[in-house]
Amino acid sequence: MAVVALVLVAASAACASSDPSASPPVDGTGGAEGFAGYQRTPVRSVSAVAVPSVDPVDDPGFVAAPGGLRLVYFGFTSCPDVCPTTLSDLRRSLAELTPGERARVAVDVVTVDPARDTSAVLTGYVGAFLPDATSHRTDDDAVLRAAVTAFGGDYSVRAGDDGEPEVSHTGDVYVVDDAGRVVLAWPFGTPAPSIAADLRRLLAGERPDAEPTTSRPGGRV
Amino acid sequence: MNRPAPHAFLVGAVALLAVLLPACGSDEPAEAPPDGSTSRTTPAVVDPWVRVAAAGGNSAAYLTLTASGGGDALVSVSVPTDVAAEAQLHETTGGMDGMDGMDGMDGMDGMDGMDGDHSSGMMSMQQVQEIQVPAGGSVSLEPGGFHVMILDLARDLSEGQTVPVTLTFASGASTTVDAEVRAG
Ligand SMILES: [Cu+2]
Repeated sequence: MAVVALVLVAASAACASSDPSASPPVDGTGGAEGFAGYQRTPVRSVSAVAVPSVDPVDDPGFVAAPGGLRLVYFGFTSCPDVCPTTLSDLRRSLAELTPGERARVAVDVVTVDPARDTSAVLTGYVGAFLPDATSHRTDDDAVLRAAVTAFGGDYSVRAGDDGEPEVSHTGDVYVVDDAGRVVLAWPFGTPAPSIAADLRRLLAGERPDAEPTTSRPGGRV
Repeated sequence: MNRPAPHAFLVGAVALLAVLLPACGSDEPAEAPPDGSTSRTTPAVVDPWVRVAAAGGNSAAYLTLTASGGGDALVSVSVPTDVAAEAQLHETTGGMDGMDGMDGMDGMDGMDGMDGDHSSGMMSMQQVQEIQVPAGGSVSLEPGGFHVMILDLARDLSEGQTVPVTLTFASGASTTVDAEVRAG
C-alpha cells in the first residue's frame, strides 16, 4: 500500500558507537559486500516499533509488505541541506527502477522535530519530494526515541544561542524488509545511482551476508 | 566591479603567475571566468544554484569559489528581502568521515574504511564567520558541507527561477550572482 516508506528518522547513530573503544566489534558495520550501503551486525529488527502516521493516517509501523522494502528516514523540514539532499537522492534513485520494482518499495519519513513540524508542514514537505511517502510524527518523545534507537540512530533537539532549535540527527536511510529487519543503510551522500543499484539487488532477493545466522559455522537459516 | 588602479600591477603579476602555473590557468582563465564575473582579484563564482523550497521554509545556496590570484574569504551573504528574511554562512558537520570520497563508495569492498560506526554519525549545522578561499585554489559550497543558509523564505522558490545572491569578501569586494533554482 504505502509504496515508499521513507521515515525521516534522522537519528540513527547510537552515541555509544561514536566511541570505538567502548564498542565491541560485534556492534560494528560492514559485510555488505558489493553494496553501496552498509549493514550492522547483528542485524537490527524494527518490527516492534511504530510512530503514528499522519499521511496516510493508519500506517505507523515500518515492516515492509510481503516481498517489498521500506526506506525509512528520520529528519526535519527546516533542515535545508542534508534532508532535502537525501530526499532528492531517493527520488532520483527510485525513478531509475522499473514500475514493477518501484511498486514494491515504500518510503517513510519521520520527523525528529515535531515541535516545528506540524502534520501539515510535514506532509507538504515530504509530498513535494515523494508524493506517495508516508509521513510520521509524534509528540511523545519516548515513542520517537524508541523508534530511532531501534534503527540504530540518534537525534537531539536543543535551544540554540538565538533561541531557534538546533537539531542534530543521523542522516542515514534505512532499508527494512518484510520481516522487519534493517537489511541495509545508506550514509548521507550515497549517490542516487548506487542507491538504485542496491535496491535492485535487494528486490531480487540478494542480501548482504553479514547476518550471524548465516556466517556462523555450521549454522543454518 | 570597482578595481582600483593601484592594483593593476598586481593583476598583471597574477596573470603572469597564471601562465606559469598551467594547472591553475586551465581551470580558470585569468581574462574570462566562465560565469562572466569581471574582477580578477575577487574570487570567481562558478555554478551558483539554490534548492527548490516553499514559502515560510528554509533553503540553501551552493556554489564554488575560485581564486585565480591571492586568497580571500567569503565573510557575508545576502538575498533580497522579497526572497527571504535572512541569509547566513553555514557548515554541516558530522556524518560519515571522508565524505569527499563518497563517490568511490561503490568500490569500497566491504566498507573497509568504515570500521566502527563512522557510517552513521549525527549531522548538524552551524553558522560560520567566514569561508576561506585559498590562493590559487577553490572552495566548494555543496550539500553536506558549507552552504549559504537561506532562512524564512518570503516566496516559493521554483525550478527555473533565479535568485540574486550577494557575496561579500574579506577584501571588501562584493559580487552578486544569479543562482539558478534547482530541485537538487
Ligand atoms: Cu544551514
